[in-house]
Amino acid sequence: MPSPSDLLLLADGRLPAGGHAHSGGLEQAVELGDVHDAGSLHAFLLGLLTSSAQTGIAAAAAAAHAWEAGDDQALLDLDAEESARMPSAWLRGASRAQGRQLLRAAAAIWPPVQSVVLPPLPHGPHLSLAQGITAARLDLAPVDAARLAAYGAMTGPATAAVRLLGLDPFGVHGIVAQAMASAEPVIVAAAEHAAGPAWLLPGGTAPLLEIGAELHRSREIRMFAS
Amino acid sequence: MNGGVRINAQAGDGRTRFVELHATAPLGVKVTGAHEAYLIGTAAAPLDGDVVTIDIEVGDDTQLTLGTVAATMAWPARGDLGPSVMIVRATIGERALLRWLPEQIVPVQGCRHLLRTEVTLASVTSSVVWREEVVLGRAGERPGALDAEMRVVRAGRPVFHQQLVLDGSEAQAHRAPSLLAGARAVGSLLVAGPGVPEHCAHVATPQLRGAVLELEAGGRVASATAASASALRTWLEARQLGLTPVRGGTDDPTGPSASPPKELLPR
Repeated sequence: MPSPSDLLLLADGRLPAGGHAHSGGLEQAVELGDVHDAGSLHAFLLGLLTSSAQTGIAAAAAAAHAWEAGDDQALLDLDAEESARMPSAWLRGASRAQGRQLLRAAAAIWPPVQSVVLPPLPHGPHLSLAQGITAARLDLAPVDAARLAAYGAMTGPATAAVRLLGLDPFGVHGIVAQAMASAEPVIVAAAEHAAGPAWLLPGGTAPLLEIGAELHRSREIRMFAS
Repeated sequence: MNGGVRINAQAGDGRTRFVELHATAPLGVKVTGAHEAYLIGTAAAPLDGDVVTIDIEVGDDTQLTLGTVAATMAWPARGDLGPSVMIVRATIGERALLRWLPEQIVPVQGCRHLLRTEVTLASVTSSVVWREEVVLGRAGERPGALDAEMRVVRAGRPVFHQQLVLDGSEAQAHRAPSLLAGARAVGSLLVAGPGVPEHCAHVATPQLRGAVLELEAGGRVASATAASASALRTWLEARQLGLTPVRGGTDDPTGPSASPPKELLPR
């Protein structure tokens, strides 16, 4: 019996799954001077929705569907396709670290009746896969997994912007609300295509996110891991 | 206009043997070296509505370098003819090497251009160097609409998948800080194959931001955004990452020419 409240728990920034340590590329964009106010933060978020976040949202919905269907091969394919769309090793490392932490947190919060056996992914699944798997394990639908991924992709950079730039938190949450409205068609499309083949995942590229991740990796002092 | 090029290259005795070398307008093709050929634009194309196909097959143990003599301008057309479409398909055999080093793509303001690139590597012994550069419109104009998707697969597994979308509108959504910010040019150079050496680089100057990205499935992509096409080219050129090609003959000591042979340049 699915509990809609589980989705709120999963999406909450206070979920102890390590999400607070990542800015979704925002810290580097601030460092480069590209994000400096509310308007440029909004543009940053909308850019993500046509690129990396779109891929993650689609992968989360597809992973929820694959987990529900018990299709391990589909999960492995999704993981490989997401990696092919994430050329920065630093970003892949951040994604897999968050994926592992989410699965660990979910196992502690909602102890599984039977042990959860993941397909063989030695470095852990990408975050979007972990979001899809966790949502499906709690009997949530692929559309819920997609919304969870979208919310994380928008709130991560937004809350980081409050900390890094001292932006007005009310204004920033207003931007998140607008960005989530912009994300709705992406979420719906992700759920519609959740059963599709993995190679059809959207492949939108965010060049400055990938390049910025490698610049970020080389910095000696940083507030966020990615 | 529907046309394009079909190239089937196989290993020969000291030089690459072109089993098939067929071109129809708007493209021509000319062999310029033992392992090298150039594509030549023979008409102002692609225009909205055109479909141009480039099929490249590089057989086992074969090496081939392909270039274009000029940038590809994607032009708008009057009337609703749909987007121009360019399809580039390359298959690369065992122990083979393809270097695809074309000039830039320039989506002219008002155009709608669709580029689909599929690169298939037969196995871990297959090598590829693949350059793709986009200049965001001609000087003083905003770019037209571009949707450029590229996928590289090795033995059925995905290696690299990217899609660059410019919406062509006045809003210029691609100027988002997470996408291209204010860059005038964006490009990548993918190098995959056995013996690709370690190469780490990242840079952020007012002229260029770039990094060498290490792919999970093996291979590297140098990716950059730049203030100009020349800044982009200079940085990518230095990122060929020392891939040692399988030499097919002694008459190709330096690999690809830095610029097209003189006789191919427009007068």
